[in-house]
Amino acid sequence: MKSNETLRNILNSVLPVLLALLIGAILILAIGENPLEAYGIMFGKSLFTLRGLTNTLHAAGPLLLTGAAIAITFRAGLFNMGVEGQLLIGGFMAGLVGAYLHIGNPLLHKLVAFAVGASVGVLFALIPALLRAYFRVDEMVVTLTLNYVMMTILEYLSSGPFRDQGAGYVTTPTIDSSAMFTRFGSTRLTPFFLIALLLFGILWFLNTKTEFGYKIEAIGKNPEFSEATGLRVRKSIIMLILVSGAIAGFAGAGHMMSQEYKYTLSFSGVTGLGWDGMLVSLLGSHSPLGIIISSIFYSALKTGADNINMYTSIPKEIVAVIEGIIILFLSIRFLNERFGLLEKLSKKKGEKNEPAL
Amino acid sequence: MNLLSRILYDMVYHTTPILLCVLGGLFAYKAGVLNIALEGMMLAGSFIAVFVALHTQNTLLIYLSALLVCAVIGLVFAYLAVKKKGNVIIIGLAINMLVPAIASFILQYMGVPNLTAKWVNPVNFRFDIPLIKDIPFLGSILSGHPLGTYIGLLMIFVASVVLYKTRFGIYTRVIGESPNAATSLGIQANKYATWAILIGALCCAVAGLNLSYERLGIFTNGMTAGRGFIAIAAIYCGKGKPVQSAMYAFIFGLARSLAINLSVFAGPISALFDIIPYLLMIAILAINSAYEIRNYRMRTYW
Amino acid sequence: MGTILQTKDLTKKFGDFTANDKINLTVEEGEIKAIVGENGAGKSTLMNMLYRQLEPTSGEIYLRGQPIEFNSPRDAIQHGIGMVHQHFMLVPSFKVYENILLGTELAHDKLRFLVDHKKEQQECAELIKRYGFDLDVNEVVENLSVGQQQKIEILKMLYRNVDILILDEPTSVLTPQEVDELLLQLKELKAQGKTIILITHKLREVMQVSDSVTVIKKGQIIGNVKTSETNEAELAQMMVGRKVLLTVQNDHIGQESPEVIYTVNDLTTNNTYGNIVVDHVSFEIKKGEIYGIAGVEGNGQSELVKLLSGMMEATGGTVHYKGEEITNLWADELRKLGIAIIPEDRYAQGLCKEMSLSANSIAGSTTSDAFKKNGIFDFKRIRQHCQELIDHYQIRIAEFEGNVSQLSGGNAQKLIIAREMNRQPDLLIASQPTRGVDIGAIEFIHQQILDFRNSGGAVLLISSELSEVMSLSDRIGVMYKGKILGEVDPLETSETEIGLLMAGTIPQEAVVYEK
Repeated sequence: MKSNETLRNILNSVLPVLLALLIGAILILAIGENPLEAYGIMFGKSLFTLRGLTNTLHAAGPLLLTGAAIAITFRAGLFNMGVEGQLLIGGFMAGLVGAYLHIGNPLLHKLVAFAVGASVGVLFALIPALLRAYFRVDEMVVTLTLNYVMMTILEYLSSGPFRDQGAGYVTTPTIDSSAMFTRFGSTRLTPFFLIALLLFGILWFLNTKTEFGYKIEAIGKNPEFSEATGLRVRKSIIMLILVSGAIAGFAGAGHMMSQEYKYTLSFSGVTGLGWDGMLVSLLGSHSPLGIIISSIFYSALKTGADNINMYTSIPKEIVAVIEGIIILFLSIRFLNERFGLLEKLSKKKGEKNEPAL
Repeated sequence: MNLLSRILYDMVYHTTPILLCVLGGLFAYKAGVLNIALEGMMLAGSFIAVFVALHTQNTLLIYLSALLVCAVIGLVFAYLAVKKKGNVIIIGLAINMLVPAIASFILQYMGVPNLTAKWVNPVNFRFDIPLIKDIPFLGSILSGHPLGTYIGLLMIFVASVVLYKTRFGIYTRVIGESPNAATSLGIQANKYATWAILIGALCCAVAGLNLSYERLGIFTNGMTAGRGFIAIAAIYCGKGKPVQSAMYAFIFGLARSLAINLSVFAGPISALFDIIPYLLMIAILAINSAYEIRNYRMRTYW
Repeated sequence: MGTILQTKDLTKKFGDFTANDKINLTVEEGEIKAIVGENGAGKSTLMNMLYRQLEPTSGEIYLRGQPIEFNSPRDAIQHGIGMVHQHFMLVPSFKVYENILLGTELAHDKLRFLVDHKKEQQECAELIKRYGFDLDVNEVVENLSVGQQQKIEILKMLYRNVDILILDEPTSVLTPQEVDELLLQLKELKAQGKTIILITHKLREVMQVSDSVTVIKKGQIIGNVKTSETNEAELAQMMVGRKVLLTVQNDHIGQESPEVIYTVNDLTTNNTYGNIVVDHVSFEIKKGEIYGIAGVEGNGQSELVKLLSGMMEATGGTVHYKGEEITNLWADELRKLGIAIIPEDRYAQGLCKEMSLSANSIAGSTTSDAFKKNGIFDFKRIRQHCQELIDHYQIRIAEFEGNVSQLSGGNAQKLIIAREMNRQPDLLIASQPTRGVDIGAIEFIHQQILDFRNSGGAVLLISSELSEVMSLSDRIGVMYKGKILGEVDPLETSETEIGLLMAGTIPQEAVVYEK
């Protein structure tokens, strides 16, 4: 019974991926390239060489965190779509701390940058959280919109007041070396990956063993029940959105200090780390283990796509296409509790969810 | 033209794509399907219109291809959401991510940063409405727009009639408000929901086409810049009623028009004026919602 | 006359569960047929198959001797079978006439694609007149009372010229007076040649109005009787399969201790539309007393319970408990003070269906340290606690690690009661404690409430089942339009008198302590 369910869950994640890769293959064929070769390069270079593997793990760090940031709110039935914006402001502010505060002490400098990154993530998340909790404004529309606002503001700041005048393109100054994570040997891997893992582990623990996780589950599955049994839904919603914002801001700071070192207009990459987090969370069905696996998988896909550019003429945007298709297919469950009572009952009721304000 | 009529003309101009999204999107809203893919559908319309315009100067063909592609996206949405009962928010987000991804894949493949249909001169697309153009003041605001604008204005009326005076509209509202009543009388909810989504997709096609082809003859990725979400906010605020929702669309258009017309006086900081419509939208949503829950005593309205 | 509707071996399975097992039902033309059975016996499933909202797994349906194939409810209506559901299928924001004509709108004479609202209003007004109903076609449905809404449902079917009218638990939301009115109307319709199938678990009404009765138990027909040849007790015994006490043994021993533990004073609140729904409600409860609140549903009882259980905020008035003011405290604070709550809707507020039994068994206690070790959940202790509740309250479960959704209505309710009583409260707020549970569980729950009262606990009992309030309470407040219209002693007041109060009139001869 239980193992059947697990198998079904796994297939429900694997099938969309396979289907998306298939459609991606058709697209690659359409532009006259060999999909097998392309996928071979993608995964070969990102998983089956030591260098590739470490690159993949390195890139999985922020994904792990943005995935967690999304999962926390998703599980509670909230849609914090502002992870992208929260990550951007977190990264940007950490970049300013790194470049303008010459703290010197490597540990302290990074700590301050992390603290600032997470705090601005929280501050930015405060807007949708309070609007949601006190005015019942749909947090999804607000966060989606605020992403545009944040992008515009950061574009203005990085191309105006905080622009590195010496550079030939829009960027903020490079952060001090004391704010940079040092790499392990010749790999790209930095201690940030371990920090991300540790933070993820703490969240995992809180989620499975404490009231924090109970709240998330109860509110996500039945908010009215949660309120009736004293979980204070309003307060909890604010708390969860803020925690999500903090993780996103933290991830942005880490990305700044372990990978980018300065804020450019492509800080978050082709697809956007916040959006990637949504894929990671959905693909891992919002479960901790699932998120770890899917963040590594997706990171491999992305790292592989960087290589694809070098060896073929396939645009690396292919990875964004595949990402979109995976998410599209993840919206439905391929395998249902077949012959199950649930399906029949929901059919009988025929009810649809009304759009919530 | 003086500044005031300039601002008001621009208001209509900037309202057009939002208005079209609103009037199309409210059908799905009324049918109980939250379609946040308006953004992606609109972008698809923008892309296809200019893409086709690279190869032909036939306006009809350009319109048809944009409509067709958006209809296909709408059908995919409807299939997953209505037939397969998928999570509409995730479907919407996926479409919003997928469309720009495909667009940039193609742009990358073509090796260009954006698409430009060189033959397009937007001025040629604007035409006057015979009687209306002669009305003093009002004529200079309402006349001299491209076709999409007139479609949008006409849609306010059409949507009102369809929604309240035809079977289709009545059933669409029923399946959204009380799906059980619909099934108990044999009203095929899936059929009406699908059509409602499709109408939204078609309107988004016109909106996108207006944005890229009719205005500029240029497509740049991400040019819809959240207008689809603003449209959703307008639908929310207007509770899906055509006239009220359209009014909110005009408010956002006005904000944008003001931001653009006044930025001339502001210097470099004017780059930040772009965010005004978004912030206004959030503020209006909040005020609207606060007003609506002013009598709420329940602690469980989440 | 003769047989109008017949089913042959009609079977419906949901997965492994057989909801209807080879049902052979016969309905004569022009009769009122009552179908009775406990909750979950399969009555609604059967009717939903007749009305084609559910597809039978196997078996046939014959209409006037002809086998019929339905594909949809619309088909059923075309064959002359109409249904009035327990939960109304109305569109709240639509007007009366729009609801009656929903699905058969009248087209405009010239512009065929438009709907002619004028013509629709006229037709409906005529229909209402013809059947002698009292309704305004232009009212918006959400402003109407439940009784009026039910009339719209019946009119909807009459407009479609159905011969067979199925009514699913039609009286559960009506005042006693409205029930009488409905039963009269059904007899009137029968006189006009309609066949009526009445699904209910209220035996009194069955005896009052029906011609024949079919009893269903666990998905099977276990008896067909003529109403004139049976009685309530016999039917009850057939339904449950053993002798049942129709009322619990209540010796009304309360009120020995005069100590007031709970005082509600002028409590007031409004609904979303700004209308006052709880209007200066005041009462007090002593230790060892059951205070019942009777009333037709929708008169503010729901909101009152929500106010008292921390789910809603009062705009005025106070609540005192053990001398301490507790107005507008939150649910967790109330529980810490020793107030137990059995909410109105067990799956909306009482339990989380998709969570495990053990997670549900600690709901409301998660903020305290009772089930934690250094702030971390002690899952061993939680499981143990859950098992204790299951054993002690005889909750029938299928799988310990499974979700609450596996439980039947009665067992789910028992789990809530077990959880709440286990905290050893001093005050129990019980709202609709036996709604939708089987007779066995009703007895058990009533006994629990009485035992709690007898051991000195105070109980606030809110129920729309008048007989329940009458048999359990020591004092009864009757709610009407948000107010407590009067307080009565159940031992000295008749059901008719309370019925009048529930309908808003204060009977002169009754022992009413007017508020």
